[in-house]
Amino acid sequence: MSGMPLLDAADKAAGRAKYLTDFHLPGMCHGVLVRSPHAHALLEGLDPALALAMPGVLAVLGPDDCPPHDLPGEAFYGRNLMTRPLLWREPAWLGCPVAVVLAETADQARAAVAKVQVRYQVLPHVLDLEDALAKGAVAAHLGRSNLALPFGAITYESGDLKGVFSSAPHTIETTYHTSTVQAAAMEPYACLVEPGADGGLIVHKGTPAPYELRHQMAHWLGLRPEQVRVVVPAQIGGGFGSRMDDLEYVAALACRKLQRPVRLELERSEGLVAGRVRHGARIRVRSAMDDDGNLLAREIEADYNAGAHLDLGPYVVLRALRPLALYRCQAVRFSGRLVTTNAPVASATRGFGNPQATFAVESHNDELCRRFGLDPIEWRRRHLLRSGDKNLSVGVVDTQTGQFVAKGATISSCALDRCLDVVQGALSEPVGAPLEGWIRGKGMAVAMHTTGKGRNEISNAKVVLRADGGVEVHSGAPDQGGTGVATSLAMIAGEVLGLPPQQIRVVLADTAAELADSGAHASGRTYIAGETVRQAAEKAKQLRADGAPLPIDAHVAWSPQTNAPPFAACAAVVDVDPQTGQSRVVRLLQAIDIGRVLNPLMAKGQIQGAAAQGLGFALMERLDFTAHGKLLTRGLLDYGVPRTLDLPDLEVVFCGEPEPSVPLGVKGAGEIGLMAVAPAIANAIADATGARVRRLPMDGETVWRALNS
Amino acid sequence: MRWSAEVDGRLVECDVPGNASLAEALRGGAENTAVKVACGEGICGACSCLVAGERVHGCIYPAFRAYGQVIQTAASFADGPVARALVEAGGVQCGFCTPGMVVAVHSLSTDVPATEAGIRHALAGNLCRCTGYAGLVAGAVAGLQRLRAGEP
Amino acid sequence: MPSQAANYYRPQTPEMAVELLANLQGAAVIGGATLALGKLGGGRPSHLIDLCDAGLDRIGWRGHHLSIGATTTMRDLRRHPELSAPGLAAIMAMAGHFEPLPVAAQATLGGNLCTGVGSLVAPLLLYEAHAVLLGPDGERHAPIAPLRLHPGEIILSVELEPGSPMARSGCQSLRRTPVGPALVTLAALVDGDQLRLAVSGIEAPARRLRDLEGRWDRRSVAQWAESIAHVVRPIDDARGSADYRRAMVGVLAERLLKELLPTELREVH
Ligand SMILES: Cc1cc2nc3c(=O)[nH]c(=O)nc-3n(C[C@H](O)[C@H](O)[C@H](O)COP(=O)(O)OP(=O)(O)OC[C@H]3O[C@@H](n4cnc5c(N)ncnc54)[C@H](O)[C@@H]3O)c2cc1C
Ligand code: FES
Ligand code: FES
Repeated sequence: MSGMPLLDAADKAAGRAKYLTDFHLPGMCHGVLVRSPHAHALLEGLDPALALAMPGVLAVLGPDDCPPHDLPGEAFYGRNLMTRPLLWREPAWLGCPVAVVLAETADQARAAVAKVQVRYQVLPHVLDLEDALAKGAVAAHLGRSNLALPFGAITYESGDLKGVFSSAPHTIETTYHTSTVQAAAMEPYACLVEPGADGGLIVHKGTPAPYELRHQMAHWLGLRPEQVRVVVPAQIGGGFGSRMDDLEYVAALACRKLQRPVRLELERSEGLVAGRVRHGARIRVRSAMDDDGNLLAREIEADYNAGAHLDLGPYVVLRALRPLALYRCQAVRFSGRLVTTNAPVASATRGFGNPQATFAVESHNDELCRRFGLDPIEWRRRHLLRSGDKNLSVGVVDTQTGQFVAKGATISSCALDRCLDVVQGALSEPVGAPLEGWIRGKGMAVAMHTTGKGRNEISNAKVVLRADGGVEVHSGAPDQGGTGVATSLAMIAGEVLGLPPQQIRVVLADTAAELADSGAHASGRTYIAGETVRQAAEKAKQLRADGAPLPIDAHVAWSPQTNAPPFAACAAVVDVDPQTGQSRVVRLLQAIDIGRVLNPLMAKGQIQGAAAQGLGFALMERLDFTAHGKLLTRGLLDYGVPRTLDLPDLEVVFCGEPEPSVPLGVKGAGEIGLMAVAPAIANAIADATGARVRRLPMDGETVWRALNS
Repeated sequence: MRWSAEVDGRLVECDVPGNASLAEALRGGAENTAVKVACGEGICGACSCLVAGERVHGCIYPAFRAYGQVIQTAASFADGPVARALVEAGGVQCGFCTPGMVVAVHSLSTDVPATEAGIRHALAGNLCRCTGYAGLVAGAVAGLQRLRAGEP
Repeated sequence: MPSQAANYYRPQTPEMAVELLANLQGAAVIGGATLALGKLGGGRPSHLIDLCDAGLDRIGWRGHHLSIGATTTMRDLRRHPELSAPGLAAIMAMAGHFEPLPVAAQATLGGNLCTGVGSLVAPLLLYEAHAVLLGPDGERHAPIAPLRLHPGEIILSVELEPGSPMARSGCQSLRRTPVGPALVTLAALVDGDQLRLAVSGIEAPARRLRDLEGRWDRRSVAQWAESIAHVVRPIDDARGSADYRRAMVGVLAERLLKELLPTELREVH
């Protein structure tokens, strides 16, 4: 496998690379949050006196110290649905922040947290999605419906759904559940805010969207955007979407109060409930079929557990559309709802709403093929999208009615056919024998994702040819911890300028540079920021060729026109112990279409890392609560992050052709490797045991129940 | 309390609370960023270091039990054969787990075979959330082989 | 960092440890400190009294009891020749669960008993184990499940009766996640036609299944497994339901008994 390691890999391996949790600033103080020990309560009183008397304590801030308005959150197609408090008067999940203690050291702050006297009126709570939807359910927020979208559901319908279903000779309907999963990035959640020039702030934070954060924070604090400078650290210990946790607002509030740098760093057990999680979901899939097993129409109803507030939830549940869009048929209907509960807040987590829905649809497809005695690969070949087909999952939502309007985007490249060939080949190889008493099965699944959010995407880049011969690339895009944005941009600029990437200095994501970028979401940065940098490098090269004097400063702003979906097909071989229900994945191969593979070494790493998270999602990861809403999961030890021993060697075969919508030819690589893993494993378990597991994680008990029902 | 030890070949002396963990002493007192703390529970291995040649998880090891000992963190093995092999095999993404992985590989005794199975077993106490371990395991196998072949 | 008052002690004898414990507020003894320092523990003691030099790591005979020092680590247990008899395999199996994690060389027997849910409790119960404690009022013996330490007491050792040289034992457990807490742990010892059984995880605290024990009668392994599953009182929580835990006791029982029973007993029927 050719390609190059990340430019900073040697520094990381040596322990020289500095992460946010390694930063110390002169005069820095520390904040620790006071968190609700109840899943739902009302704050009746908050007395900081004892805490303030503790050594080193500087201040205690509560809801009264926040601006009168909630955090703005991102707008949902122009409508503000995602506002939320920072320090809550009606704490709505276990671990919900109600106050912050500031002290000279983190230990002093932590010790004083226990001394803040908070009186709670404990309220009834609801954690489970189905309980929250039941008649007469407990309200997750007093006086509000648990169905959180003001328009009820995001809906889409095309074709004569009713007609097709009523005349179809066969219909099949199945329902799937997925659990609340933590991204569990290895670096603790942290941020550091220091006083900036002009009465402003400098925010150090591993956010994926520094310009959006600047915009929102300035708005919340009543500052001008230029007064808030957001700097994303060059090294982040993993992100996976989960770092959008509002911690920086707490630090900003404290920094303005104390006029000193303030750092917040969460402990792992705090991070389990305070970091953003993947939505647990219930997804119903219904298909109409003809006598030959052809898919005529399909309907998906997705209910996502938002936890205590919506955060980016409306966008997330909308992405349950992707697996519906992946298959051609006469009529489709989609309905996506968000349910508020007193569970941890769900938001953007690697895959962004797609892994849940792909698990449901790809399991359902397998059930359907079994029912009709069809080969699951051949059946998919019949129905899968091809290049030139419409991709209905790109569009906008009317925020009055909730109706989704597809934009009519076309798929510009799709190598799923070749991906299926590879998977077919792998599954036809002999699989060998399992351990005594275990049984072995094979399964497969496919997936489509996106490159970029498909809305409001922009990137700005500058390529500077310095007078001393040095070359710099400046981009507004952040790295998200090992996704290799800096390395990719150096490779791209180097390719144009005929330089080795190591000779190019890359500077990312500091809003002081005023290079607006829509952020490292949706696997889009290599495509969007990369194409922008490529154009800037071309421009610099042209200026140089035209005889412009050094230094040359070539600036380009660019927005993509399409979302160039990447594709995956996954093959899994799984062993099951039918007595205990425990299973082991013995082989996992993914055939991947991400267009041109810019850096095979690191692209493969992205797919493998995503696959490992997909396997954890499939077989073990879950946050467990007691009936009283307390967390049973004590930390990473219980939670179940896959270890070396829990994974097979993860095989990756790249099958794509260069994507035609950009000269760079690439598509998003960051998330696609996660999507098809859980359904491929579920289908292999069904193949081995004959039992269908429709609930994640498929841990021992879950499989055992399916076997004994 | 006054704490001292030989850390990465350098004599370190600093004040450390008596109930501190070794990771806290190294990160706080000795300002060593090659020791990461990801869980603080003893499960992930990001804080791995060697005390008198034995691998420990620094976040659960008492600082003063290591008093006066020879301590090695990933900084001791910077740019060595194991670190280079992990880098070359694509085993480094966010890098938060990597220093611990480097230390773990350096701690392996000769009865651990430099094979995929041997390494998977030996590194079960080091979690990585980014790589899916494929590049890490391949790099660790190659690194261990090079280390044993005496590569500098 | 400001200099702090001394709050780490390494007493050379258990008596000194007990004395320190009596005189220091907020102090705790540590064995391996894997819980005392780690975030999984219930909060860090302000003073550490490290038992590593208190001479509590010895394994040897005291009359017909085998005595295992409280600071014996999981790795030491695995490596000690005195513990290699097939009759003690149940202890070895559980100590082996810590490998290959570095905690294996740090986690101690004493600390494991103090957690209340330690993996070693069920296997130790097979051997009528008791803890030897030292406190301000001197030495005493106490049951290990539940283990109740009086204020100021420390564990010196655990004493057990290994059974005859013919005894065979084993222990199996099942977890929801690879290193998470066990949903079920079942330990069994077969000595001639005598059978002993202990469970943990499934019930709190761990216990011997004495009502079932005794002579191996003319029932098949499957029937035995069924009766074992029948007598446990499983807890029920989000990690594992009572149904599942009960069924798994049956599965583990069948596996263990098949492994342990001499063929002539196994094939009765
Ligand atoms: C990665 C990891 C995996 C683990 N896996 C398991 C597992 O599989 N099974 C399991 O049971 N546990 C497991 N544990 C939990 C724990 O490490 C073990 O139970 C260990 O045996 C505890 O012993 P320790 O010596 O480290 O305890 P310490 O942390 O030293 O002490 C724990 C408590 O016991 C008290 N104590 C210790 N020794 C004595 C003594 N001699 N007299 C009086 N009080 C004493 C201390 O004061 C403290 O309150 C695991 C922990 C980690 C970090
Ligand atoms: S930080 Fe020490 S083991 Fe995770
Ligand atoms: S590279 Fe990120 S945790 Fe291993």
